[in-house]
Amino acid sequence: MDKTAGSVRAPKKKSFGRILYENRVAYAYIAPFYILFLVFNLFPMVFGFALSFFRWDGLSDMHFIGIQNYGNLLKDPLFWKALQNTLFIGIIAHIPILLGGLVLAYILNSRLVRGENLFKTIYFMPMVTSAVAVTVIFSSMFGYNYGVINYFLSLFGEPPINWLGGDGSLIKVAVIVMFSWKWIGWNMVIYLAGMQGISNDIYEAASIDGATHVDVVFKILIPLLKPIILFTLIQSTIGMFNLFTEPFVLTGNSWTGGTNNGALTLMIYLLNKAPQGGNLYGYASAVAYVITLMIIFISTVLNKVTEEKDSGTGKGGNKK
Amino acid sequence: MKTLLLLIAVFFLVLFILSRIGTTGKKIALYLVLLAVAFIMLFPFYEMFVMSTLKTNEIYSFPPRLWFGSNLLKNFENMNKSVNLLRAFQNSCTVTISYVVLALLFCSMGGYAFSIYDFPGKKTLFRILLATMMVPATAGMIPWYIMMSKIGWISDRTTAGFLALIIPGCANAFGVFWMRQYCQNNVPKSLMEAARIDGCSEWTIFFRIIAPILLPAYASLGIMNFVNQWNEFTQALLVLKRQKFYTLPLLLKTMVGDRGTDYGALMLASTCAVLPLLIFFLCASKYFMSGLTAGAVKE
Amino acid sequence: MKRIVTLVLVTLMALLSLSAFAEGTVNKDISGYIEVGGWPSGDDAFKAAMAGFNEMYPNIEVELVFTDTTAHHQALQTSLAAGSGAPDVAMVEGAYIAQYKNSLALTDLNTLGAQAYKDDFGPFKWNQAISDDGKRMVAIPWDLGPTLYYYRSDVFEEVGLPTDPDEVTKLMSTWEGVLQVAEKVSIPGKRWFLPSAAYPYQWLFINRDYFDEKLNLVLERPGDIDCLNACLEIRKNGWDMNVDMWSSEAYAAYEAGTCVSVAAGSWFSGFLKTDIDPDGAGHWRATVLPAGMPATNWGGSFLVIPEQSKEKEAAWAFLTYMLCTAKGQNDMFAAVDYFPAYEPAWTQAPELYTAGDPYFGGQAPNALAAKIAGEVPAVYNTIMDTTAEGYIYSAFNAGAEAGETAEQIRERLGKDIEVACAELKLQQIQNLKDAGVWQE
Repeated sequence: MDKTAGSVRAPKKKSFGRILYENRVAYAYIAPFYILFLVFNLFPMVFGFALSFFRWDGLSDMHFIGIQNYGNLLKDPLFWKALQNTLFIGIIAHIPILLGGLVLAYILNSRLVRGENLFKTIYFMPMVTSAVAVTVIFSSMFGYNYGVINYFLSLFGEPPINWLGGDGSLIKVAVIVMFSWKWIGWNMVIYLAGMQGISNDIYEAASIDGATHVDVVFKILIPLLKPIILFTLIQSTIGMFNLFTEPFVLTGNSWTGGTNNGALTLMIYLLNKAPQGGNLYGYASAVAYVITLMIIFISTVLNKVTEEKDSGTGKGGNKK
Repeated sequence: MKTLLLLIAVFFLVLFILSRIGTTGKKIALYLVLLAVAFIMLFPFYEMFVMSTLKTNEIYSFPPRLWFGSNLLKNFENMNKSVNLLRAFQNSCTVTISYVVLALLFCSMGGYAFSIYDFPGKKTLFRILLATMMVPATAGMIPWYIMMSKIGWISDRTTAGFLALIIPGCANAFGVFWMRQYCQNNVPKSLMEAARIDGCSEWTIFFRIIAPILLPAYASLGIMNFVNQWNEFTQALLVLKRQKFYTLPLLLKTMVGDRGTDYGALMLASTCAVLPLLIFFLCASKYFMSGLTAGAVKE
Repeated sequence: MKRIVTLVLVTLMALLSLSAFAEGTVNKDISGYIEVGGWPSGDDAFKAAMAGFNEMYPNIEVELVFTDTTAHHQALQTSLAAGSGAPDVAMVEGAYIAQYKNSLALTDLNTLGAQAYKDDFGPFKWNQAISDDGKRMVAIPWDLGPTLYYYRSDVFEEVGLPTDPDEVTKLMSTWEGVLQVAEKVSIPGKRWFLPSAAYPYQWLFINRDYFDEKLNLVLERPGDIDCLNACLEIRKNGWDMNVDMWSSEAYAAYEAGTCVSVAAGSWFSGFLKTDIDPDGAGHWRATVLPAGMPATNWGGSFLVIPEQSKEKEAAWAFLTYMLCTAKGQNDMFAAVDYFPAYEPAWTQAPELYTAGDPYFGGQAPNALAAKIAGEVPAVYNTIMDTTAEGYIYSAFNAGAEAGETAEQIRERLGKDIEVACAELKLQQIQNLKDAGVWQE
């Protein structure tokens, strides 16, 4: 076989070993990830999946029950309630972390303000804190009788609001505030990075055309930033499904998610079954895999939506 | 509730009016927005510092205390009595730094290969990698623990448990993905070709030529991994069996008791745990931000 | 073959332990290194009794591994499921014991000689640790939590109410009386009668006897509607703080005297003294639950020995010294107020139980606790209990917020519990089937 031709257009049939050898450098570079994954992560994942077909409390015998766990899961009103809450909190929280993040990035990117680095650093600080401290502080701020927020309201003669109790609907507000507090800076910094990569000519051209700021944001920035927005969306979607500490601590470590299951999220629901709240390991595994399916589904849909509108910039983030 | 909404409405009204009265007005409006958000971001930190100087019953009193108290020394004493912060700090450093170093090495290697080389199975392998990001870690907690205990990576007498926190997760999918994006935008293929012609081996190219280009990306991914590992709780709880091996989050959790918590001491300990992180971040933020700005996820 | 070997071994062990017991002496030569796990203040308790233990077993080295309650149970659970990494002796909270009682991952303490102590413990606690088939015993009770009603006598005095426990009990023997007291002590927005109005209703369930042996929810309790009506009245008038009794807000209010009463197991005496209101000597008194509620038990822990322990002999020596000797139990009792389930302890050091406690203004809450402990009936516990318990607080709040009647709230609670416990119930049935005691 002609060697030079082979390197240009790879012939269909080649031995596996030869493929490995020819690309040994590339494979060597990616090997650590896949080796560690195979050794340490694949087994737990597969084992967990197998477990989802068993009834097992971790203490006595395992019983194979087929897909019963999945069936019961879909029949459980609390599961649907948890899904509903998770989506609600997730979607509402995206207003501040997505739009707010964009607006802040846009302001910092404008030539009117200075001190960009200082503000960026401040906004990013919540990412760099310890969860234990933050949760204590937020639950004290939202406290019914002694909280700072209700104190502030009382200065205007308002009666205290039972944020974390009541009929349970306001816990979601507290959770959204806490969640946004942590993530807005992260999104802002990434959007800003994206905006700074867009050449200034575009803005100038737009302003000559008499476009308003709203036009610039919606007609120019958002389409150009689409891959970046997609990236943050997928990240925050995963974050949304993992939402646990905030609602759990704000409701006083309650597995019910507060009154009327107001802040019962999927992750609380999952961990309540096992391994933190209870010991229904099989059932919990089924929940985990249903959540995984949902994350994959949403990511795929997000990907499709952006790909269809302009096929050039998919998730791969091809070079301009 | 009404007042709160009213206040927000007034704030926006002021912004609107300001933005209509010329460039200075606009500037003021923009600064107002930035400062308001900055206030919200900083207030909880301020609260943490204030609380660490108060007694528990001062923290929970009405009206709430918003200024520093005089109980700092007592809190410090109580904190030292109940926990050994310094040791936990060392443990946290050991685990986190080893983890970050390995993660940066492996992730940049992987990301580099995915962005620069063409090899059979690239697409599939990359899809697998992305998919692994989506399975919640809790799904495999028990089997993971079984594995760690069979290997002996449990800290009951030795620091072996640290390995369980460092090794399995160090080549993480997110990191590889991140590095790939960065390489794609910042590593010109021409540079490599030039190096190859000069006779550099592939390894030399990576360590001598590519790695320096990746420095900003190392800084940003490094901080993210650092923060995650520094705050890791669930896995650490399972494998670190003795208090002398505890990392900071575990140690802080021991200060929260059913019987009652000394919130002043807890807040002081939290401050001590967060402060180095904050200082480190403030110092490194220039590099970190440039890692993002240089286009980690740029088009 | 394996079975025979096990059988022989078990018999041998049983014989050995029997003979050791028959001699009535302690084998001082037992040596080993054991790890004991739990949550605070169990560690303080063990430290207080350690001197006596070391004297009796000089060759056993003990290391205490303590973290908070939830984390401890999670770590224990995981190590048991995985088969390694558990401590040699572990604390298990009363609410969790039903999860563990059938577990083969825990040592059957009957093989170590647990039966010898059967008569020293009340049936309420002892039976909780016996497996559903009645053959195995996985835990030894540590402490009881006879439910007491704690109130701020200084506030009662201030508003002109009697402060003496007997008089208070008499005054509050009906719901009308309770409401009168609530009204007198409360200043809406400033001072409250209870942390939450949901708690009196929860007191009716505090034995955690939510389900009967057929696993039907026992929702209706004697007097529950009257109780709920009183709760609603308290909520309506703003006489409760409307927060969780374990929240930091409530804790601060106990100390400040702005939340004037709360009920809990007698271990709460220790909480008050050392953590919640350490400078509050004389502030508090304790009496029985109001409105003629029956004697109940609120929590209390157990000790277990995981099957995976390689130091079972030393572990058992530790466990029996701490829990099955008057000295061990009373040393711990004096330190952290865990009321001994081991009854001989009550008579061995009577002064601990009958002497007036200066913290409680010279009253002796422990004498009251001992009296209540004698009246608590044996109950049936399941793995659903903790989940069910979580819904009382939330169902009451939800119902009160929606303006429901007492009956509607009760019905809501029933529904909430059935839904939340559905999957646990299947597991419970499986456990009972495995034990061979379940009839469809």
